Formats: sequence, C-alpha cells, structure tokens
Amino acid sequence: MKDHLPLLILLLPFLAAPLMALVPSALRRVLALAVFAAGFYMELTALPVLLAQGGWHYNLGGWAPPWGIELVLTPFTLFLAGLGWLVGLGAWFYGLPFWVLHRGEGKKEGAFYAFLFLLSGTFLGFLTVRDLFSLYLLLQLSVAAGALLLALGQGRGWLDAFRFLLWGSAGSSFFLLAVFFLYASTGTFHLGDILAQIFIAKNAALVTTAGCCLALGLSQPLLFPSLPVFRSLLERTPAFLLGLLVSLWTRGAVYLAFTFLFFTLNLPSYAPPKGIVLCEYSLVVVFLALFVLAIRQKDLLKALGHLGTAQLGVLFAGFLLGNKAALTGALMDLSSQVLVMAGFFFAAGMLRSTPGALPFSRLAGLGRHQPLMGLSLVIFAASVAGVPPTGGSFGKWYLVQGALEKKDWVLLASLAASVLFGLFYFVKWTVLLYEHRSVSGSLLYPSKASQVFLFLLALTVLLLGLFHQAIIHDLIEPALPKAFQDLPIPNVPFLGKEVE
Amino acid sequence: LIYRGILLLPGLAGLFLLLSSRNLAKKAVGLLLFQASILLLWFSLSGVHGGFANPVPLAIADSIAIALCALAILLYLLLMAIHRQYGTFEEEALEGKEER
Repeated sequence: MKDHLPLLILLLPFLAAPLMALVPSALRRVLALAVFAAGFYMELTALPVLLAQGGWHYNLGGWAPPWGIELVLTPFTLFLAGLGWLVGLGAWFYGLPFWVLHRGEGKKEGAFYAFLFLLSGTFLGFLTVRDLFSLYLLLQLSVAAGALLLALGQGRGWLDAFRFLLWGSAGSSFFLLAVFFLYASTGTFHLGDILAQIFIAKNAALVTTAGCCLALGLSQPLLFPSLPVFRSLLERTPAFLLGLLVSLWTRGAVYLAFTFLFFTLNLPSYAPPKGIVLCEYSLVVVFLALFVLAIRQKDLLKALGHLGTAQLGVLFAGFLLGNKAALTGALMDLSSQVLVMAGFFFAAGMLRSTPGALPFSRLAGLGRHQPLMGLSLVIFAASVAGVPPTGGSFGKWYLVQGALEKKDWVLLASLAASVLFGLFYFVKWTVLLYEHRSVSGSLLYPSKASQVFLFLLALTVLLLGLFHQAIIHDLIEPALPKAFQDLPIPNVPFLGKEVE
Repeated sequence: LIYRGILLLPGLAGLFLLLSSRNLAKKAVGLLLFQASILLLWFSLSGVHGGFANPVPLAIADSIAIALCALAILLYLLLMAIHRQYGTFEEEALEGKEER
C-alpha cells in the first residue's frame, strides 16, 4: 500500500467527492473530517520517504513515461499539499456556521463538500501530475468546481457562477490549444519529455507560442477575483469560499506556471522576443501596482481581492529573475501566501454575519477586544509586508538577493516599492487594529475555537519563517530545476560577502 | 497547414462572439464554437500518414468531446437559472438588475 502513496494522496479527494453527496447528512461532516485526517496521515507517512529520496516518481498503472502518466512528488509539493489540506480544512470549519444558518439544505451542504474536495483534488493534481493533457482536464474540472462552489455559496449566484465558468473555460481552451501545439510538434504529453524534444529540435517558436497560450490559459485563476467582470462577487460570496479559491486555485495555478516555465518550456539559450519580455515586465509591474489599489480601498474584502493578485507580482518577479535565490524566494513566498490569503479571508468571514461590505472603520480597536484574532491578522500583514520572522519576509529577502545577483534594477525597484507599500499597509493595519476606539456594534464576535484555528494558520506562517533554513534546504531545494540543486545561495556585496 | 488554418476559422468566429457580444447566451455559443474548433484540430492529427494511424489524438479528441458536452450542459443549466432569476441574457439589463 505504501508503494502507491503518491496515487492515494491524489485520489483521496476525488474518491471523497462523490461520497459526500451520497452519505446521509448526519454522517457528512464527520466523514469530511475523516477525509482530511486521512489526507494528513498519508502525507505524514510519505514525508520521511521523500526527505530520504528527494523525490518520488510514480508511474500510473506501471506504464513508464512518456507512454504513461507520471506523478512526481517532491518534499516541497508534499508540503504545499499539506498546506492545501489545512486551507481546505479551514474552509470546511469556517463553512460550518454558514450551513448551520442554512439548516434544512442538507443536499446543498453535501454538494458543497463534494466540490470542496474536487477543488482540493485538482490543486493536488496541479502539484503532482506531469502529463499535459491530464493537467488540461484538471484545470477544466477546477473551473467547473469553482463555479459550482460560487453558485452554492451565494445561494442564487448563478450570474457569478456563469461568468466564472465562461471565462475560466475560455482560458482552459487556450490551455488546450497549447497542449495541441506541443503534442503536434513533439508527439508527447509528458512534461519532461516535451522539454527533451524541444531541446533536440531547438524549437524556440513553439516555446513562444505554447508559452503565450499557457499564459492565457492560466489568466483567470491568476487574476481572480480582481477581474472587472467580478464586480460584486466579493460582496456576495461567503468569505471562506473566497479564501479557498484565492488560496488553492490561484496559488495552484502559480505552481503550474512554475512547472511549465522551468520544467517544460525551459529551452537553454532561448531568448524570448523583446515584445514578450516587455509584456512580462509590464505584467509584473502591473501586478505590483495593485498594492496601491489595495491600500486605497476602504473595504476589507475589496482590499484583500487586490492584495491577493498584487502578491502574485512578487512570485512572478522571482520567476522572471529565474536564478536560484529568486526561485527559492518565490517558492517560499508562495507557501506563506497560501496560508496568509486564506487566513485573511477566513477572518473577514468571521467578522461579517451576512455577505456584504466590511469597511475598515468597523475593525478599529478589534485587536484589543479579540487579542488572538488581532495577533493573527498582524502576523498575516507582517508576512505580506516582509516583516521578519514571518515566512513572507524570508521569501522577499531571497527575491531581493536574486534581483541583486542578476542586477535587474527594474525588478529590484518594483520589489522594493511593493515591500514599502506592504510596510505602509502593515503599519496602517496594526494601528487600526489596536487604536483606542471601540469596535462597531454590528461586528460579529467570533468564537474562541474559530480564533484558535486562525491563530494556527498564523503560527504556521511564523514557523515558516523561523525554520526557513530547514524548509529551503530540505523542501524547496529538491523542487528547483536540477541546475540549481547543488549550488549554494549566492553571496552578494549587499550582505558584505564576496560575490561568487 | 492551410487545412488546419481553415479548421480554426469557426474557432476565431467563436472567439469574436465571446469577446464582442453583450448577450450571455451568445457568449456561451462563442465559447463552445471555439472549443469545438480545437476539437477539430485534434481530429485532424489522427489521420493515416504513410500507412500508420496514430490513435492517441483520436482518444484525446474523444475525451475533449466528453468534457465539451459536460461544459455545454453546465452552461445551459446556468443560463436557464439566470433567465428564471432575471428574465434576460443581456448584460446591460443584468447589470441594472444586479445593482438593484
């Protein structure tokens, strides 16, 4: 049984999803909890093997790639999968009051758990599957699951669900077009084999075309929920659902982009056309500029919506820099973003009783009345701003090192500006939470249990920072492209050491 | 190449419909047209070349066709629900009703 752990880890949520719709409502919540427990147990069982081996390549049905479908589990993907399960558990936990309010809608609750597990399963698939066509199917499935979750969460949110499905599917059509181009040119679906074939043929045009199509394919997950078509989605959707989507779906797509950029389309000596480079830099700067938009918002949910997308700019800056320090920083920041964005949205959900706006003015002095929650929110903001010792701070530290090493002043200036905006946001946020004004009466007072779970997420963000060396050495380094795996993190003059 | 380019024409028409139309039903039709044209591209890969037929693209095309049918059904169900709730597919009218 242990030999098949990579497959079992991936299959578990997909098997649990139909079960959720079938079991009696009394059993449903317990069963969901049991599935989460089983997921954590399997990941803990696989971790020692992965730490010893550095990676686990599993051939589905015994068919070796490129003929068969390969699942690749690295210590980092397993770790990210664990964080994903934690966020999924959070969505289940913070969704409970919602379903208590909607008592008597047992079938809807069952469907909600089913789609929650489907979405979690597609996230695990993004992390482990190395087959291009399967990834297309997973992307399309995640779009459908996300749309149905929105429809269920909003009660009658058909319009948002339709828009989500329409634009998400349009994106996955471009992804399918990229799959077509790559298969037609290389004759294979296996990501590693595609790279080998591209390398043999030195097909730079294919890399450019497929890269553009893949970028379009992933555009909706990456821009969600900042897209103008989702004008009132933030106000109407339960925040725990937004947290789930922004954390798992969006960050899963970022990891997918990382896999494509560095394990599939990473043609050595490939110099992208100047127009594409300009687009890449512009996109990163536009993403980072969303920090300004986030600061200008007067509503917490709208600010979080922009903040979620703005932080992707930090990750893409790392991918664009492409050296070891930058990629290490990007993956480190990705791990903390999974927790931070989920935590922020879960907290927002606890503070508003019904979907609607949540102005910042209503949060004044919250930290003094709800110390655990206040502290958690400050830790999340510290991670976004890059204040040590949070996970986000070390991520940004390595990213800045990467920019210095590459002498990329445009990205360095953009990163520095985003960190400054983040710091401004952090100070403003902390002052607001602890200022001597009482919380508005219309604000909910969350239970101790819900605050404890939020604090657990915040504590994990802190632990990411405190144990960053072990995380980078044991988890992130084996997940980097092979060329970077045995190199030390470069020393730069900025740190008073020699340049290597 | 020309033959495959011709196969993409309905897809381009679908893409135009998806991006330019202000009617949700037409947008859905545009999306399905676009996906259907990509499906045709996959079928085009599965022809017999030099006495050898590659079954993989055909199997892939079948899988895409199933996903396309499921997507069409889901879009249709959501469109029906929108029409029941708002009585229209026109985006201007829907935006007005949403704001109210």
